Amino acid sequence: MNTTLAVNCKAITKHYPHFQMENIDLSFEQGTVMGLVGPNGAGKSTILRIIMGLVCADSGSVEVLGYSMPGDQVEAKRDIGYISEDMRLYESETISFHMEFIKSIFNSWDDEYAATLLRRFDLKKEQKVKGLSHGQRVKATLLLALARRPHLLVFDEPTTGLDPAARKDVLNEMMNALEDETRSILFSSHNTLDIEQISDFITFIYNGRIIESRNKEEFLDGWRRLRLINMENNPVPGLANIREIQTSGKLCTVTLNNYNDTIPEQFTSAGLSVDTIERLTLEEIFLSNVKYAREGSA
Amino acid sequence: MEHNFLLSQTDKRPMYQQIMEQVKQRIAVGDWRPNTPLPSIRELATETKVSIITVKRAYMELEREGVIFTQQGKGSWVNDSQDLNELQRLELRQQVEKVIKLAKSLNISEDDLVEMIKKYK
Amino acid sequence: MTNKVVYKLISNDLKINRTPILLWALTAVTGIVVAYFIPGLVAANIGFSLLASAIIGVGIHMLAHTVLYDNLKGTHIFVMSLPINFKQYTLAKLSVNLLVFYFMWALLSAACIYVTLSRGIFPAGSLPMVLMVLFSILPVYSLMLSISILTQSIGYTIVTVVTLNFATVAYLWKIVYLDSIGSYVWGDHAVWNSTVLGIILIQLLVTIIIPVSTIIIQFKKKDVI
Repeated sequence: MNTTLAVNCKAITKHYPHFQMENIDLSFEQGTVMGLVGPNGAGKSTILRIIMGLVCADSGSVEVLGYSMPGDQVEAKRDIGYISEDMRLYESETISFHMEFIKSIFNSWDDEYAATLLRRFDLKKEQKVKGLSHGQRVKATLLLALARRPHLLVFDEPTTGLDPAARKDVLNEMMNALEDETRSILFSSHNTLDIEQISDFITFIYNGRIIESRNKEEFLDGWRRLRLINMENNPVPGLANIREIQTSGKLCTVTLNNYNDTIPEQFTSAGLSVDTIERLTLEEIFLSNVKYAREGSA
Repeated sequence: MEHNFLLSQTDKRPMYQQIMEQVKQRIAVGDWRPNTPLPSIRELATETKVSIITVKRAYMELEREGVIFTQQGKGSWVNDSQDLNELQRLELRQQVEKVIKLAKSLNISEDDLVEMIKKYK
Repeated sequence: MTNKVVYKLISNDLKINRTPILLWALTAVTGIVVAYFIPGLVAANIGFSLLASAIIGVGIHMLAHTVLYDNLKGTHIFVMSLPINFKQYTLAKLSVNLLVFYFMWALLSAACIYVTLSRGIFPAGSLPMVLMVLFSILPVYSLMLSISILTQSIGYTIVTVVTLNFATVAYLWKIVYLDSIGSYVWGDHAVWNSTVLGIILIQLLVTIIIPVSTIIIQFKKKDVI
């Protein structure tokens, strides 16, 4: 049992009639933020549900905060705050009802923090869940998860469908929750900006498989776009790490992964001149990864 | 303590470089004197809402450049061997770079730019 | 291991549904009052029908709101994010439904037997018949509850409710025309022969077996969502 890992999944597989998840290895240390990126239907939610013990993997092992899932989920969930898009509170009841309910279950509930969150989120305690807007509902659910001060937050698409102000509120509170080295966050989003902003580690999922999983700085550093000028129409060297080539007359744009300083040289020695070397945003990496994975499977 | 680091989304540079620049600016203008403790990595990350690893990288690069020094597990401080003048020059160079870029995009020739600078003497 | 979250869930479901429970209880009490205070067979029939409707009503309301609705809306995901496992969740849902239903059923049964005997609406010979009818509600309800918990489907639950409705009527007709029962209904003495006891026993067994097998099947499920 490794207690310094917040989550440790090994070789998880899960088979559904129309969706297969193969050999998922996912782990990250306590005190860090792990972001899951991937298109809709890639399996992000399934992974999070398996980690929460809501879905049982066909094979492989899942350890969360040192607890084995789904077997030890009662103990583990005392220290996990989970929110997901399809989660709903009791519609006919007030926010206050839910706060009392959660407080009665968790000794760790922090009244003061709850009051602060109510203020920051501009929520009224006596409001019924039924009358809340989508943004208010997400914030209310978030409040219930945060005010019990869990060591691990597992958030499935927390910012989907939120306006920029609400999105900022949610991200701010996620970062505030990382008050010490023992607090960790695992969250999924198809908003690459969110992931890029607050994640320490990024895992890219496509079609039930992990394409890349590493430290965000390395992840972003690894990708480059080279704008090349090809005056003599020389063949572009076929490097293994090229993900995309676009040519237009004598101009050629190459997008590649696992960039290192020797790469420009390899193009110049092939007779192409390097005009600019650009970094990519996570959004661009996302699109490039998806395109490459699609073409690879086609 | 609020440090009011403000990161720009339109800035093309990676976030760790923006953090580095803001630290350097504070040192250059004299707000952070030699031996001033820097906010802890976690503190600055929660405040700027930027991932810990990004702030950590900024601090590491700053240390490599000799701007700050770090004691493992204790924190980071502004380097006292830091040549303030040198940093201010660096700051100025960065500003000039920006001016030149802007001039280029506005199609202002080098000569015109020099003329403009002379006017402000 | 007992988990206090189970009790919290039960009390939540009771709190949330307290108004409908009270209204159905009121309907049941009205039925008893009608049967007791207004003389005549017609009033008694109306009263007992009200009472029976109230029990079925509260039963269906509870399983619709605490089981089907929770799954449809996604409240079960919120609940399952709390320190509770699927078995405990199932037990909580089963318990709150059985609790409310049996409370109402006990009310009905006590009132029926009391009114029947004290007002002399039916002769004493009808007591075995009354008991069999009362006990026939239990397996019917158990099956409805189990189907809704197992399938989480409104469609299957409705089909079950409608089918059982037909089946119960047919079943009761069948019983009434059994010689060993029907011939004593209008007598002055309750006759507890083996047919009567056997039927009640089977009904009770089915009532117990269905929820127990529901728990067994449900506990084998691996995925909550």
